[in-house]
Amino acid sequence: MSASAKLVRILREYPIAISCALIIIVGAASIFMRSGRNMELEVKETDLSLRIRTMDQNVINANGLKTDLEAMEAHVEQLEGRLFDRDQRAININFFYDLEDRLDVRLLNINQVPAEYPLYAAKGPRALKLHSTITYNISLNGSFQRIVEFLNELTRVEPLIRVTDINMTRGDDRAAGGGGLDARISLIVLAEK
Amino acid sequence: MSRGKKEIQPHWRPNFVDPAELPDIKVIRTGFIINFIAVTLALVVTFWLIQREYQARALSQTIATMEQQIALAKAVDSENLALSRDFRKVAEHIIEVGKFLEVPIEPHDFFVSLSKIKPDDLLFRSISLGEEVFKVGNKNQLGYRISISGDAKNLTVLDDFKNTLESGELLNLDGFSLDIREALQGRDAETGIFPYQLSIQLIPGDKKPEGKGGA
Repeated sequence: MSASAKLVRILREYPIAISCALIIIVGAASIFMRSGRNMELEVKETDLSLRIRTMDQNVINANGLKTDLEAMEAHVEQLEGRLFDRDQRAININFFYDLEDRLDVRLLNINQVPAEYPLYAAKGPRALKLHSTITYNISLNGSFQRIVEFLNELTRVEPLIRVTDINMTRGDDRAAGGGGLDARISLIVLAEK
Repeated sequence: MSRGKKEIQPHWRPNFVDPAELPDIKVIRTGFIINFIAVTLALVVTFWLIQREYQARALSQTIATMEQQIALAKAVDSENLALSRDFRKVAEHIIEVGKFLEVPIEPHDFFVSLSKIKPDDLLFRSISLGEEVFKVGNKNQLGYRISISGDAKNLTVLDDFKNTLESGELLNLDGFSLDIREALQGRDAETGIFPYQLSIQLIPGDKKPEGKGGA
Protein backbone atom coordinates (compact mmCIF):
# COMPACT_ATOMS: atom_id res chain seq x y z
CA MET A 1 0.00 0.00 0.00
CA SER A 2 1.41 3.37 -0.98
CA ALA A 3 1.83 6.25 1.49
CA SER A 4 -0.89 8.35 -0.09
CA ALA A 5 -3.28 5.47 0.03
CA LYS A 6 -2.39 4.95 3.68
CA LEU A 7 -3.08 8.68 4.38
CA VAL A 8 -6.40 8.56 2.59
CA ARG A 9 -7.29 5.49 4.58
CA ILE A 10 -6.42 7.25 7.90
CA LEU A 11 -8.39 10.36 6.85
CA ARG A 12 -11.37 8.19 6.06
CA GLU A 13 -10.97 6.20 9.24
CA TYR A 14 -10.64 9.18 11.74
CA PRO A 15 -12.49 12.19 10.26
CA ILE A 16 -13.42 13.60 13.70
CA ALA A 17 -9.85 13.37 15.05
CA ILE A 18 -8.47 15.00 11.92
CA SER A 19 -10.98 17.87 12.18
CA CYS A 20 -10.14 18.33 15.86
CA ALA A 21 -6.42 18.36 15.06
CA LEU A 22 -7.04 21.15 12.55
CA ILE A 23 -9.03 23.09 15.18
CA ILE A 24 -6.21 22.60 17.70
CA ILE A 25 -3.59 23.86 15.22
CA VAL A 26 -5.64 26.93 14.25
CA GLY A 27 -6.55 27.66 17.91
CA ALA A 28 -2.99 27.34 19.16
CA ALA A 29 -1.73 29.56 16.35
CA SER A 30 -4.35 32.18 17.22
CA ILE A 31 -3.44 32.06 20.91
CA PHE A 32 0.23 32.44 20.07
CA MET A 33 -0.35 35.27 17.58
CA ARG A 34 -2.62 37.26 19.90
CA SER A 35 -0.69 36.73 23.14
CA GLY A 36 1.34 39.90 22.46
CA ARG A 37 -1.82 41.97 22.13
CA ASN A 38 -3.13 40.74 25.47
CA MET A 39 0.14 41.55 27.18
CA GLU A 40 0.08 45.00 25.63
CA LEU A 41 -3.44 45.58 26.92
CA GLU A 42 -2.49 44.40 30.40
CA VAL A 43 0.49 46.79 30.51
CA LYS A 44 -1.67 49.67 29.28
CA GLU A 45 -4.35 48.88 31.85
CA THR A 46 -1.73 48.85 34.66
CA ASP A 47 -0.32 52.20 33.46
CA LEU A 48 -3.73 53.82 33.30
CA SER A 49 -4.69 52.39 36.67
CA LEU A 50 -1.49 53.83 38.15
CA ARG A 51 -2.20 57.18 36.55
CA ILE A 52 -5.71 57.27 37.97
CA ARG A 53 -4.37 56.40 41.41
CA THR A 54 -1.81 59.23 41.10
CA MET A 55 -4.54 61.64 40.02
CA ASP A 56 -6.71 60.58 42.97
CA GLN A 57 -3.74 61.06 45.31
CA ASN A 58 -3.13 64.49 43.74
CA VAL A 59 -6.71 65.44 44.52
CA ILE A 60 -6.20 64.39 48.16
CA ASN A 61 -2.86 66.22 48.37
CA ALA A 62 -4.30 69.36 46.82
CA ASN A 63 -7.01 69.56 49.43
CA GLY A 64 -6.58 73.00 50.99
CA LEU A 65 -3.41 73.61 49.00
CA LYS A 66 -4.70 76.82 47.47
CA THR A 67 -5.27 78.36 50.90
CA ASP A 68 -1.88 77.14 52.10
CA LEU A 69 -0.22 78.56 48.99
CA GLU A 70 -1.82 81.96 49.52
CA ALA A 71 -0.72 81.98 53.16
CA MET A 72 2.78 80.90 52.16
CA GLU A 73 3.00 83.57 49.44
CA ALA A 74 2.02 86.21 51.97
CA HIS A 75 4.66 84.88 54.38
CA VAL A 76 7.34 84.88 51.68
CA GLU A 77 6.39 88.41 50.65
CA GLN A 78 6.83 89.47 54.25
CA LEU A 79 10.21 87.67 54.40
CA GLU A 80 11.36 89.30 51.15
CA GLY A 81 10.57 92.67 52.71
CA ARG A 82 13.07 91.87 55.47
CA LEU A 83 15.99 91.34 53.11
CA PHE A 84 18.84 93.82 52.78
CA ASP A 85 19.42 95.46 49.43
CA ARG A 86 23.12 95.25 48.60
CA ASP A 87 23.04 98.57 46.76
CA GLN A 88 21.58 100.50 49.68
CA ARG A 89 24.84 100.55 51.62
CA ALA A 90 24.13 103.66 53.69
CA ILE A 91 20.67 102.49 54.75
CA ASN A 92 22.08 99.09 55.67
CA ILE A 93 24.85 100.52 57.82
CA ASN A 94 22.56 103.05 59.44
CA PHE A 95 20.36 100.17 60.54
CA PHE A 96 23.16 99.07 62.91
CA TYR A 97 23.86 102.61 64.10
CA ASP A 98 20.18 102.92 65.01
CA LEU A 99 20.65 100.09 67.50
CA GLU A 100 23.49 101.95 69.20
CA ASP A 101 21.48 104.35 71.35
CA ARG A 102 18.68 101.93 72.04
CA LEU A 103 21.04 99.25 73.39
CA ASP A 104 23.60 101.49 75.05
CA VAL A 105 26.63 100.23 73.15
CA ARG A 106 29.18 102.26 71.20
CA LEU A 107 29.72 101.18 67.60
CA LEU A 108 33.30 102.03 66.73
CA ASN A 109 33.39 100.81 63.18
CA ILE A 110 31.16 99.04 60.67
CA ASN A 111 32.65 97.57 57.58
CA GLN A 112 30.65 95.96 54.77
CA VAL A 113 32.62 93.10 53.22
CA PRO A 114 32.14 92.91 49.47
CA ALA A 115 32.52 89.14 49.18
CA GLU A 116 29.72 86.74 50.07
CA TYR A 117 30.04 84.54 53.14
CA PRO A 118 31.70 81.36 51.81
CA LEU A 119 29.31 79.02 53.61
CA TYR A 120 26.37 80.34 51.59
CA ALA A 121 28.16 81.32 48.38
CA ALA A 122 27.82 79.28 45.21
CA LYS A 123 29.46 75.86 45.72
CA GLY A 124 29.54 76.48 49.48
CA PRO A 125 28.28 73.80 51.88
CA ARG A 126 24.97 75.66 52.26
CA ALA A 127 24.82 77.43 48.89
CA LEU A 128 21.80 79.71 48.54
CA LYS A 129 19.98 79.88 45.19
CA LEU A 130 17.36 82.51 45.83
CA HIS A 131 19.16 84.82 48.22
CA SER A 132 22.60 86.27 48.85
CA THR A 133 24.43 87.31 51.99
CA ILE A 134 26.21 90.49 53.05
CA THR A 135 28.92 90.27 55.69
CA TYR A 136 29.57 93.08 58.16
CA ASN A 137 32.50 93.42 60.54
CA ILE A 138 31.48 95.54 63.50
CA SER A 139 33.67 96.82 66.30
CA LEU A 140 31.81 97.95 69.38
CA ASN A 141 32.31 98.76 73.00
CA GLY A 142 29.99 98.19 75.93
CA SER A 143 29.40 96.15 79.04
CA PHE A 144 29.08 92.37 78.80
CA GLN A 145 25.37 92.58 79.45
CA ARG A 146 24.85 95.25 76.78
CA ILE A 147 26.86 93.36 74.21
CA VAL A 148 24.87 90.17 74.87
CA GLU A 149 21.68 92.23 74.59
CA PHE A 150 22.98 93.63 71.30
CA LEU A 151 23.54 90.06 70.06
CA ASN A 152 20.09 89.05 71.21
CA GLU A 153 18.54 92.07 69.52
CA LEU A 154 20.15 91.08 66.23
CA THR A 155 18.08 87.89 66.25
CA ARG A 156 14.85 89.78 66.91
CA VAL A 157 15.07 92.65 64.43
CA GLU A 158 13.34 92.62 61.04
CA PRO A 159 16.40 91.86 58.88
CA LEU A 160 17.52 88.25 58.96
CA ILE A 161 20.88 88.38 60.71
CA ARG A 162 23.24 85.72 61.97
CA VAL A 163 26.38 86.31 64.04
CA THR A 164 29.20 84.14 62.73
CA ASP A 165 32.17 85.32 64.77
CA ILE A 166 32.56 87.27 67.94
CA ASN A 167 35.55 88.16 70.02
CA MET A 168 35.19 89.97 73.32
CA THR A 169 38.15 91.34 75.25
CA ARG A 170 38.44 93.62 78.20
CA GLY A 171 38.67 97.19 77.01
CA ASP A 172 41.47 99.57 77.78
CA ASP A 173 39.28 101.50 80.17
CA ARG A 174 39.14 98.38 82.35
CA ALA A 175 42.61 99.19 83.56
CA ALA A 176 41.34 102.63 84.49
CA GLY A 177 38.47 101.11 86.43
CA GLY A 178 35.84 101.04 83.67
CA GLY A 179 33.60 98.06 82.94
CA GLY A 180 33.70 98.06 79.15
CA LEU A 181 34.47 95.26 76.75
CA ASP A 182 35.73 95.60 73.22
CA ALA A 183 33.92 93.32 70.84
CA ARG A 184 34.57 92.46 67.23
CA ILE A 185 31.57 90.91 65.61
CA SER A 186 31.22 89.41 62.17
CA LEU A 187 27.66 88.97 61.10
CA ILE A 188 25.85 88.08 57.92
CA VAL A 189 22.61 89.49 56.72
CA LEU A 190 20.33 87.74 54.26
CA ALA A 191 19.99 89.91 51.18
CA GLU A 192 18.27 89.98 47.83
CA LYS A 193 19.94 87.99 45.07
CA MET B 1 5.15 -43.92 -7.92
CA SER B 2 4.90 -46.55 -5.29
CA ARG B 3 2.65 -46.25 -2.33
CA GLY B 4 5.68 -46.17 -0.04
CA LYS B 5 7.11 -43.30 -1.83
CA LYS B 6 3.95 -41.19 -1.54
CA GLU B 7 4.72 -37.39 -1.62
CA ILE B 8 4.17 -35.75 1.79
CA GLN B 9 2.68 -32.24 1.51
CA PRO B 10 3.34 -29.62 4.32
CA HIS B 11 0.32 -28.42 6.33
CA TRP B 12 0.12 -25.07 4.51
CA ARG B 13 -2.72 -22.87 3.40
CA PRO B 14 -2.73 -19.23 2.42
CA ASN B 15 -3.92 -16.68 5.06
CA PHE B 16 -6.58 -14.54 3.51
CA VAL B 17 -7.37 -12.58 6.71
CA ASP B 18 -7.33 -8.78 6.16
CA PRO B 19 -6.92 -7.25 9.70
CA ALA B 20 -8.05 -3.81 8.50
CA GLU B 21 -11.35 -5.23 7.43
CA LEU B 22 -11.93 -7.17 10.60
CA PRO B 23 -14.09 -5.56 13.28
CA ASP B 24 -12.32 -3.99 16.31
CA ILE B 25 -13.18 -6.29 19.09
CA LYS B 26 -11.13 -4.51 21.88
CA VAL B 27 -13.14 -3.46 24.99
CA ILE B 28 -12.45 0.25 24.16
CA ARG B 29 -11.96 0.72 20.49
CA THR B 30 -8.84 2.54 19.21
CA GLY B 31 -10.97 4.90 17.09
CA PHE B 32 -12.93 5.93 20.16
CA ILE B 33 -9.77 6.72 22.19
CA ILE B 34 -8.21 8.78 19.37
CA ASN B 35 -11.43 10.73 18.78
CA PHE B 36 -11.96 11.28 22.49
CA ILE B 37 -8.45 12.70 22.97
CA ALA B 38 -8.71 14.85 19.84
CA VAL B 39 -12.12 16.26 20.79
CA THR B 40 -10.95 16.97 24.38
CA LEU B 41 -7.83 18.78 23.20
CA ALA B 42 -9.84 20.75 20.61
CA LEU B 43 -12.31 21.77 23.31
CA VAL B 44 -9.51 22.82 25.66
CA VAL B 45 -7.82 24.93 22.95
CA THR B 46 -11.15 26.44 21.87
CA PHE B 47 -12.08 27.28 25.48
CA TRP B 48 -8.65 28.79 26.07
CA LEU B 49 -8.93 30.90 22.92
CA ILE B 50 -12.42 32.11 23.84
CA GLN B 51 -11.33 32.90 27.37
CA ARG B 52 -8.37 34.97 26.11
CA GLU B 53 -10.50 36.79 23.60
CA TYR B 54 -13.04 37.56 26.29
CA GLN B 55 -10.27 38.80 28.55
CA ALA B 56 -8.89 41.03 25.78
CA ARG B 57 -12.35 42.44 25.13
CA ALA B 58 -12.90 43.12 28.85
CA LEU B 59 -9.47 44.79 29.08
CA SER B 60 -10.21 46.96 26.04
CA GLN B 61 -13.49 48.07 27.62
CA THR B 62 -11.77 48.82 30.94
CA ILE B 63 -9.05 50.79 29.16
CA ALA B 64 -11.65 52.81 27.27
CA THR B 65 -13.44 53.60 30.53
CA MET B 66 -10.17 54.57 32.23
CA GLU B 67 -9.13 56.80 29.34
CA GLN B 68 -12.49 58.53 29.55
CA GLN B 69 -12.05 58.95 33.31
CA ILE B 70 -8.55 60.39 32.83
CA ALA B 71 -9.74 62.77 30.10
CA LEU B 72 -12.44 64.07 32.45
CA ALA B 73 -10.06 64.51 35.42
CA LYS B 74 -7.15 65.91 33.40
CA ALA B 75 -8.12 69.56 33.78
CA VAL B 76 -8.45 69.28 37.56
CA ASP B 77 -5.22 67.30 37.74
CA SER B 78 -3.31 69.90 35.73
CA GLU B 79 -4.61 72.58 38.08
CA ASN B 80 -3.54 70.52 41.11
CA LEU B 81 -0.10 69.95 39.64
CA ALA B 82 0.31 73.66 38.88
CA LEU B 83 -0.68 74.46 42.48
CA SER B 84 1.79 71.93 43.78
CA ARG B 85 4.54 73.35 41.54
CA ASP B 86 3.83 76.87 42.81
CA PHE B 87 3.80 75.63 46.38
CA ARG B 88 7.20 73.97 45.99
CA LYS B 89 8.61 77.11 44.37
CA VAL B 90 7.37 79.33 47.20
CA ALA B 91 8.46 76.81 49.83
CA GLU B 92 12.03 76.99 48.51
CA HIS B 93 12.25 80.57 49.81
CA ILE B 94 11.24 79.50 53.29
CA ILE B 95 13.57 76.48 53.20
CA GLU B 96 16.46 78.74 52.26
CA VAL B 97 15.70 81.18 55.05
CA GLY B 98 15.57 78.21 57.43
CA LYS B 99 18.90 76.99 56.06
CA PHE B 100 20.37 80.43 56.65
CA LEU B 101 19.15 80.72 60.23
CA GLU B 102 19.75 77.12 61.27
CA VAL B 103 22.72 77.07 63.64
CA PRO B 104 23.50 74.83 66.59
CA ILE B 105 24.78 77.72 68.72
CA GLU B 106 23.13 81.09 69.17
CA PRO B 107 25.93 83.43 70.37
CA HIS B 108 23.84 85.37 72.89
CA ASP B 109 22.53 82.14 74.47
CA PHE B 110 26.06 80.78 74.52
CA PHE B 111 27.48 83.78 76.36
CA VAL B 112 24.62 83.88 78.86
CA SER B 113 25.07 80.16 79.61
CA LEU B 114 28.83 80.54 79.83
CA SER B 115 28.53 83.40 82.31
CA LYS B 116 26.23 81.23 84.45
CA ILE B 117 28.71 78.37 84.78
CA LYS B 118 31.77 80.57 85.27
CA PRO B 119 33.22 80.08 88.78
CA ASP B 120 33.88 83.24 90.77
CA ASP B 121 37.58 82.45 91.08
CA LEU B 122 38.02 82.30 87.32
CA LEU B 123 38.43 85.48 85.31
CA PHE B 124 37.85 85.87 81.60
CA ARG B 125 40.07 88.28 79.71
CA SER B 126 38.98 87.32 76.26
CA ILE B 127 36.28 85.08 74.78
CA SER B 128 35.81 84.29 71.14
CA LEU B 129 33.29 82.16 69.33
CA GLY B 130 33.64 81.59 65.61
CA GLU B 131 32.18 79.39 62.95
CA GLU B 132 34.50 77.21 60.95
CA VAL B 133 33.90 74.85 58.09
CA PHE B 134 35.29 71.36 58.74
CA LYS B 135 35.67 68.71 56.09
CA VAL B 136 33.86 65.58 57.24
CA GLY B 137 34.24 62.80 54.67
CA ASN B 138 33.38 64.41 51.37
CA LYS B 139 31.24 67.10 52.92
CA ASN B 140 32.06 70.51 54.33
CA GLN B 141 30.13 71.06 57.52
CA LEU B 142 29.74 73.87 59.99
CA GLY B 143 31.65 73.64 63.26
CA TYR B 144 32.92 76.06 65.89
CA ARG B 145 36.15 77.29 67.41
CA ILE B 146 35.90 78.78 70.87
CA SER B 147 38.73 80.37 72.76
CA ILE B 148 38.63 81.51 76.37
CA SER B 149 41.61 83.11 78.07
CA GLY B 150 41.95 84.68 81.46
CA ASP B 151 43.27 84.12 84.95
CA ALA B 152 42.56 81.33 87.43
CA LYS B 153 43.08 81.85 91.14
CA ASN B 154 43.94 78.19 91.46
CA LEU B 155 44.16 75.19 89.18
CA THR B 156 41.31 73.32 90.85
CA VAL B 157 38.88 75.99 89.71
CA LEU B 158 40.17 75.75 86.18
CA ASP B 159 39.89 71.93 86.21
CA ASP B 160 36.34 72.12 87.56
CA PHE B 161 35.38 74.63 84.88
CA LYS B 162 36.93 72.46 82.19
CA ASN B 163 35.09 69.40 83.50
CA THR B 164 31.84 71.34 83.54
CA LEU B 165 32.36 72.33 79.92
CA GLU B 166 33.18 68.74 78.96
CA SER B 167 30.19 67.19 80.68
CA GLY B 168 27.64 70.00 80.54
CA GLU B 169 24.90 70.61 77.99
CA LEU B 170 26.41 73.83 76.69
CA LEU B 171 29.00 72.22 74.43
CA ASN B 172 27.70 68.69 74.15
CA LEU B 173 25.61 69.12 71.04
CA ASP B 174 24.08 66.36 68.97
CA GLY B 175 26.19 65.60 65.92
CA PHE B 176 29.32 67.32 67.21
CA SER B 177 32.40 66.02 68.95
CA LEU B 178 34.05 68.19 71.54
CA ASP B 179 37.77 68.83 71.85
CA ILE B 180 39.06 71.01 74.70
CA ARG B 181 42.75 71.86 74.97
CA GLU B 182 44.20 73.79 77.85
CA ALA B 183 47.33 75.93 77.89
CA LEU B 184 48.74 77.24 81.14
CA GLN B 185 51.32 79.95 81.56
CA GLY B 186 53.59 80.21 84.57
CA ARG B 187 52.12 81.31 87.86
CA ASP B 188 52.40 85.02 88.60
CA ALA B 189 54.71 85.22 91.59
CA GLU B 190 53.14 88.39 92.96
CA THR B 191 49.44 87.64 92.63
CA GLY B 192 49.57 83.84 92.62
CA ILE B 193 47.19 83.58 89.68
CA PHE B 194 47.56 81.26 86.70
CA PRO B 195 47.02 82.79 83.25
CA TYR B 196 45.27 80.13 81.13
CA GLN B 197 43.83 79.60 77.69
CA LEU B 198 41.17 77.08 76.68
CA SER B 199 40.90 76.24 73.00
CA ILE B 200 37.69 74.43 72.21
CA GLN B 201 36.63 72.86 68.95
CA LEU B 202 33.16 71.63 68.12
CA ILE B 203 33.74 69.34 65.19
CA PRO B 204 30.81 68.04 63.15
CA GLY B 205 30.59 64.25 63.40
CA ASP B 206 30.51 61.93 66.37
CA LYS B 207 34.13 60.79 66.39
CA LYS B 208 36.31 62.39 68.98
CA PRO B 209 39.67 63.69 67.74
CA GLU B 210 42.83 62.21 69.19
CA GLY B 211 45.47 64.12 71.15
CA LYS B 212 43.17 65.67 73.67
CA GLY B 213 45.03 66.99 76.66
CA GLY B 214 46.55 69.87 78.52
CA ALA B 215 49.81 71.76 78.24
